[in-house]
Order: sequence, then structure tokens, then C-alpha cells
Amino acid sequence: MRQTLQTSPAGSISAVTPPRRLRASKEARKNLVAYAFLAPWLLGLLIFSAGPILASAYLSFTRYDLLSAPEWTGLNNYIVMFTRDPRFAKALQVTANYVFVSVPLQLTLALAIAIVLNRGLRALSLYRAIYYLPSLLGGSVAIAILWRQVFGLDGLINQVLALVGIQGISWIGTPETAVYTLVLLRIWQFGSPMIIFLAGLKQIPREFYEAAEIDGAGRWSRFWRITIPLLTPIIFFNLVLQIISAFQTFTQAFIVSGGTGGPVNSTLFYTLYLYQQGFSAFNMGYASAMAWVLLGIVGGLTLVSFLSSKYWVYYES
Amino acid sequence: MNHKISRRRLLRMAAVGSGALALAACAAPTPPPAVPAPQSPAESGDEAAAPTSAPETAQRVTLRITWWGGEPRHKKYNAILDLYQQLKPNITFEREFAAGPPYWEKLATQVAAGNVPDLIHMHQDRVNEYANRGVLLPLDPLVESGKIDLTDWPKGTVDAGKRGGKNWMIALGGTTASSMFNENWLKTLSIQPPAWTWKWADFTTLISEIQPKLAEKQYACTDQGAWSGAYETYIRQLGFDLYQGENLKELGYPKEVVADYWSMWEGLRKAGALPPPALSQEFMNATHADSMLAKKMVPVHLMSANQLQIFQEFMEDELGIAPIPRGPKADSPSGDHLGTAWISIYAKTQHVDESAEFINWFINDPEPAKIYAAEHGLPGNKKIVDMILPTLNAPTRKGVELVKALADSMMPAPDRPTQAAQVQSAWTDAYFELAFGRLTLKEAVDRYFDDAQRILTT
Repeated sequence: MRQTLQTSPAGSISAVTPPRRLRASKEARKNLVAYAFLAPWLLGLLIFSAGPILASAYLSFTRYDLLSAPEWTGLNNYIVMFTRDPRFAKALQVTANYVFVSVPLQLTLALAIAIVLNRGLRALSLYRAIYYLPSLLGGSVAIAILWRQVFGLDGLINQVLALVGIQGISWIGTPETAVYTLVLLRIWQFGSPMIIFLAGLKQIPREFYEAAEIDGAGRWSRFWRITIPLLTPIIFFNLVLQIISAFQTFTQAFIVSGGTGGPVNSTLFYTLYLYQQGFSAFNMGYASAMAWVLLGIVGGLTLVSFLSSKYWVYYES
Repeated sequence: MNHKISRRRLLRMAAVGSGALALAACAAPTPPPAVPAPQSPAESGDEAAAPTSAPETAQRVTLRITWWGGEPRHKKYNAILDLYQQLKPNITFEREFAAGPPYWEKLATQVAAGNVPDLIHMHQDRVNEYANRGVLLPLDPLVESGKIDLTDWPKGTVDAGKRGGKNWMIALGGTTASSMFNENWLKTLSIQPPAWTWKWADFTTLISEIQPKLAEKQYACTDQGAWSGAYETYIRQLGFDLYQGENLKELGYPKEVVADYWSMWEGLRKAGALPPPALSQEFMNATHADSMLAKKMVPVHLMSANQLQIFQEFMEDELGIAPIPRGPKADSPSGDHLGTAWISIYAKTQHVDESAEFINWFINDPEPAKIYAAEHGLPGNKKIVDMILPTLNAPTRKGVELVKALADSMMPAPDRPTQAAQVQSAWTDAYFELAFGRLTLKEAVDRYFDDAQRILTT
């Protein structure tokens, strides 16, 4: 496209501008080569990401059951969602509760472990690998199935409780506790924020601590006055990342509740409900609208995090 | 002027060219259908195998077939399809299969993409969605011409595959909702297994008699109050339809029916004869091997008759079977309907005759019937039934014999709107809100009706 724009008027202009034109077209050619090499990736982006994203934006304004052509319904999906769908409200509530409980706990644990590991352990890389392992496994179907067993009525947890004479309940079958088994599962996957914290901790200059120690600062005040402030950019980064990923939790909820979001919708995560609407009820239009609302929510929260960051995140320079 | 093509330029052209190629390839995501290679006449065996043959039937034909199920079922299907390929070397099957729920996700996606297999497995609850949208081929001409021969089939079974007067699918078996009980266990409790004429009142009596004789953490019956197989039968026994009105946008029964039904279950639950709701929830999606019935936590369970054999595989005790409890009056309708897997043909298939020929063989020939071994319950063809019944293992036979006994009183499958699955979720939600004591009976029933009405009219 760019090339034709450059070359087509060329014949009429002729003598005055040849050096510039030559340079420009050489530049264009160079770019074109670059684009050609980028083509596989670009096409992938357009076809497998941008295309479906645009399609879902369109579908969110339609009634679409996959079997017949989409039918334009304007804002109807969005209106129904916010005014007539109690399960949508329930899904939002369940997910928000999950995110705001699990993410802070997960980051706290990740930071605590990172600080322990930063004490100059001998086999640091071994421990780091071990603690990272749950992050690799945690999202898998196998672990979710294991979780079901562990927190069942005859599961590991209750067997341990029985040893000390406590009669356990079915943790995954009881509406009040089911979602917290999933919170635990998320906290258990503290590995990747831990690695990032560890890297951040290693960047804090030793001299700060030494100087503080000479001034008589205790361990606690060194932690609060040096470690935390200098780590805030890392905390901020981890927070944004984990909020986004927590909102997208799907596999665990799907497996642990057998795809139902039960007991009585207590694990009906947003993405699970979206999936039910799209692939069980075949309300693809509604599911698309839900996806865009989720994007709005996650985008909004990220924006709030960024806006708030100037009040609590300290950058050294 | 220098017209020499530089190496750089050549490279550039090549790169742009391949980029354009990739573009073109992506612009037409479905490659043109492979034209079947003309068959060399040397393979004359084909002609003998295909008696209806015009010359073109000897052509190589690839039929795509898709079904749902677990590993043992896939083995049976593969054996049957292999056998057919041996008989008809010109036919090759492209096989696609999945577990139940993903099957429907995949099929809907394939329909959206216009990439539908020639032979589709169908279900009585879903057929409307597909038939109404022109996905399925009406089979009536094929049945009339005898290409699909249903002369040895009971009229009821044939009619069960019809909607709006047209035949969309052929039954691959026949099953219905049933009651199952652990015979050995009941014997040790010296409790008589239910007669096949038992009513709902007998059901509650039996359950209440069993419970006091059980140990701790054992319950007389699974909490199946949210299982559609049982409650839909109950509702239809009282003479109500499940849905009514234009486009089936209304529930067909009044609140009292649901309130009566739920309070029956609630009574049993309060008496401790059903597992606590948390436990029921935990086992809701358990596999057969991990079910309360197989784990000897309950002696009575309500489930589709064809699943008796699957439970039996994981149990030492012998299972018995009975119908879902009958309606209150002597002349109450049975409420039963024939459920099974069905086979349909894609409306736009290129291979109508080959597909029909395969279906005809699959449903009427003894050889595939032996391999299939009543996988989906009572076969449609009466001659096949007589032939296969003695060869079946005892648990499969029990299920098949129950369906055979109920066959004459069966009702047509209920008509459902497309939102039926969501209405079912609303039932389950409200029912368990009641079970967990978070709603009163009246609140739960109101909640269900509100939700259902909203779902049906949205």
C-alpha cells in the first residue's frame, strides 16, 4: 500500500526530487521486508486474536445460538445482564469475594516466603524450584481433581481433623466453605509472585540495612521502613497481575464444582457462568457481552490501581 | 537503467510472495472439498458388497460420524465401524467422539462453522434445536423407500423420533428413568424390594422403613429431588405438561405440584433418610465408580435404566430395578418416555444413500447389534430384541426388560424450549437452597417459578 502511494505519482514529478524519492522508497522497501517477515505473527494476531475480539464485540449486541445466524438486539444483552439476571449478580459477587480475599493473602504468603529465601540459604535454587512448583501445577485439571478429594467429606483434611477428634464437614459440598477451598488453591500458587518478589528483594542495596542497623533500627522497623517502601513497585506489579488473573479463574471452579458452580452457585465464578451461557445454554451473544463487561471490570480495576499507585508506590529516582 | 534483479530484491519478492500466500490461505480457511479419487474398476469386490449399487456407489466415500460416550462405548463403536468398513471397502469412516457435555459444545460449533459430520448422534431433548434450524435431514423418504427399514419396529419407537410430523432421528436403543436398589443389602435388612406397580406413597414408606435399620453415614436413598428424570415423570403422571403456551414459554404445571414434590423430599431429608445436602452436592457429579450407590452409602437410587449395568460393574452386590414410582390413581399416566441416543443425518451431506445404508445396517443387522449389546437400552427392531436378549449379561438384561415392560404405556417425549437446560439449573438451585435451609419451601418454589419465567421470556 505504502509503496504504491510513493511510486504512482513518481512519473510526473521526475527530475527535482529523485534523491528523496529514492530514499523514501528504499525505506519503504526495507519496511516491507520487515513486515513480510512479521507476516506470520501479524496474521496470527489478526486472525486468531483481533478477529475473534471484534467478532465478539459485534456478537455482544446480538442474540446468537451458534446454530442460526446472529440477530441484532442492540443493548438488550447488557440490559438483561444488569437488570434481570440474578445469577449474573451472584457470579459477580462470588468472583469479587474470591479476588479480594485470595489475592492479598497470596501476595502476603509470596512475600513472606521470598523474604525467608532471601536470607542467603545454601540451596536457594532448589528451594526456589520447590516453592515454584505449585504455580506450575495449580492451574491444572489434575490438581483441581486432587483438591476435590482432599476437601471432600472423607478427604485428607477431615482425616487429619479426625485424628484430633474434630468431625469435619464436606468442605466442597457446603455453600459457605466451597469457595474458600478455591481461595486456598490460589494462595497455594504463590510461586510466580514469589520469584518476582525475590528478584525485587535482591535489588535493595545492603547498605540501607546496614545503615539502619547502625542507627539502631530493629528488624521490624527495617522491614516496614526499607523493604516495603522499596518493594512497592514490585508489589504494585504483582497486584495488578494477580487481580487480572484471579478474575479469569476458570479451570479450578469448573472441575471442583463439576461445571455447575455449585453448591447453590457458591462457586459460580464469572468465567464459569460465561461459559455456561455460551456453551451450555448456547447464548453466545450474551456470553460475548459478559466477556466485554469482564474486560471493563478488569480494565477499570487496573486503572484504579494505576491511579492510586502515585500515592503508595515509591520509585527510587 | 539497470534492470538486473539484485539478490536482495529477489529475497524480498520471495518473502512478500510467501506472505501473500499465507494471506490467501487464511482468506479461505476451508480447503475445497477433496474430490474422491476415481476408483479403479479393479476393486470389483465393492460392487458385490453394495447391492443397491449404481456404478458410482463403488466410489470411495468418506463418512464422518460423531458420537458421545466413555471409553467402553468408543471401543464398541470402533469395532462396529471397522466391521462395516470390512464389508464395504469403499467406505471409510472419519470418527469423532467426545464425552457427553463437550459433544454438544463441539457439535454446535461445527454447525456454526458449517462443518458438520454426515452422521450425527442426537438426543430427544436437543432434536428440536437442530431440526428447527435445518441441520437434520428428514428421514421420511428414506424410511418410505425402505432404505431405512423400520418394518420390524414398534410404532411408538418410530414416532418417538418425530417432531412436527417428520422423522428426524432413529432410536439406537431405548431406556427410561428408573429406580435401582441394592438387592443383597435390602435382603440383609429383610426389606422387600418394590413391586413394579409401586406408587410415590410406597416410595416414601419404603425409604422411611429402610433408614432406621442403617448404620451411621448410610442413607436410605440418594437425594434425587433435583433429577429431571424423576420429577418430570412425577409431573406428567399428574397430567401436566412440562411446558405450554406459544413457543413453550410457560411452565405447564402449577406451584402446588412443585411444593408437594419438594416437601416429600424435604420430609425424607429431615428424617435423615437422605444424605445431608453438602454430601449430595459433593457426589453430584461423581462417576459411577465413585457414586453413593457403588460405595454402599445408599441402597436406593433413581437413574436411567441403561446405567444399571454401569453401576453393576463397580459393585459386588446385585442391583435390582423398578420403574419410577407410579402416579396416585390407578389410571394415572405412566409419565415415562423413551430416552436414548439417536442417529440423524446431516441435511447437507453429500452421501445420503451411503449414510442411510449404514444406519439401516447398524439398526437392523444382528452383527452390529451383538457388538453394541444394547448399549443404549432396548433395541428398536423387535427381531433384534428377541435375538439379543438371551445374549446380554444379567444387569443389561434387567434394564432392557424393564423398558420392554413399560414400552406400551410410554408417553411421547416432552416438548422443550431451547432454554430447558437453564430452567433445569433453576430447579436445582432452588431445590438445594431449600435443602440447605436457606429458603423456606414457599420461598424456594417462588424463586424457581420466578427464575423459570424470567429465563423462558428473556
